[in-house]
Amino acid sequence: MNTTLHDLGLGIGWRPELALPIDRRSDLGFLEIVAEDFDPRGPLPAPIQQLQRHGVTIVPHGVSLSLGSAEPPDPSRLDSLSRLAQRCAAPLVSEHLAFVRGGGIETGHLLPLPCTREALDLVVANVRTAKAALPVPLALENIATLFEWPGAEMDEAAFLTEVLERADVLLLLDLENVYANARNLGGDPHAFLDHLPLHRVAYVHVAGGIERDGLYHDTHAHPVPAGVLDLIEDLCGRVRVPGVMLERDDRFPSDAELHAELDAIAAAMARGAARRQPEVAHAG
Amino acid sequence: MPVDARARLAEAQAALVTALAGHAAAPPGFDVDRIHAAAASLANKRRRAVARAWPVLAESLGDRFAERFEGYAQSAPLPRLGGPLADGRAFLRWLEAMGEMPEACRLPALAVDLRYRSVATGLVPRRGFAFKTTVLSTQRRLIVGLRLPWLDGHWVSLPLSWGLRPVHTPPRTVPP
Repeated sequence: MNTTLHDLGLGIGWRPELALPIDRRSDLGFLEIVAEDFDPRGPLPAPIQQLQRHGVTIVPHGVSLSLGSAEPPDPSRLDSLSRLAQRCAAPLVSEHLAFVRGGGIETGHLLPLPCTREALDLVVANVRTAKAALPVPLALENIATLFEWPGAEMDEAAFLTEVLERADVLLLLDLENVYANARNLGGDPHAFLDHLPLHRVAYVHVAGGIERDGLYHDTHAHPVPAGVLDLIEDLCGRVRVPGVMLERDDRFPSDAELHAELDAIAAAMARGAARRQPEVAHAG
Repeated sequence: MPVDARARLAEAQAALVTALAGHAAAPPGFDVDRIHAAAASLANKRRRAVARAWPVLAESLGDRFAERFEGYAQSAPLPRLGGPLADGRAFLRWLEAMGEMPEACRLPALAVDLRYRSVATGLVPRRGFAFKTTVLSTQRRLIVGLRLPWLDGHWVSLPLSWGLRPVHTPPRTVPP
């Protein structure tokens, strides 16, 4: 891997509904924006420009490239993402290891891929195409899913790892998705981390969800569960994590609740990093 | 890349997406209950996203929002461009065709139409001039909207009933 990881710190996903609490929070290092919500040829909204002037890094996050589709990524979508990355002076952009459309139907949702050799080769080719078209490094995010494809030839961690290594891209590690998949599909979320190339983690997503009818739904509309905060601490104890951010998309909380969530995330990062300190001091 | 591998994956993904859209049974080998749960979650997510992008629409339909949206969504796939804003704009057009367009949505719809062009695949940002009108029948006013490339969208409200009623001009308020 020949990409230097950019230090991001504590971050949050930009939503207009959260503009005020975001503006008041002085310790934010980065802001992730949903790429499809912005006109790549128009100016960024004034509140985002202001944060940028105060030194906050902007990271465009795509949701519609559909890198896991059978077809190669659409050049016009890649062009929009590239222009936006340049407009934001972004150090990287991110997308998902998923597909969002098929048979002419747009799902508006990130869907899992079959964990087969054949699908792996296709997605690696698509990710390489995207990487070559983008002006900055690309990070791929692991998704949450309620179901799996039949006929898997490897597990999710092996599939994800092989895509990242063969295409040589970064990882946007969504710890809530790791937590959600472990709850819905089985497995230990901490053990899942053992099998990932953690030195590729460009930044981390966390969010909240809710259990309904025996399934955990990754809603981004509820508080971050304690199990996800534990995963932040675990991860930050294993490697230097460039950044961790909160995604809140719905049922927006009061300013006080939002700040408490961000404080809890920052505290979990600090606890993990403190566990790593002796080792760092020794190495130094 | 072998063409048949791409074709196989495209076919398998299309079958899954069709099932998740509720138009077909789960493809063989998938957990049927989980596919149903995922389909319900997708429909819910789509509806909530539109309610968020168009708060005035969700508010004016109130309890009927979910049921009317379901009626629309069954026949209309999610637009490829413009996300929930485009989905909500298409939903409003569907409501209008049914004669159920809430009056409170006319101005927000005009504002969106001044900034975006509606195309078959969704909404595309406008670059040039745009001129749009709408009628607020309960207020008996004609709204004329104009978008200039360097001034974004502006609109004026004109009474529809000169001579029939006195026109009340609201007093100008001076900002504190």
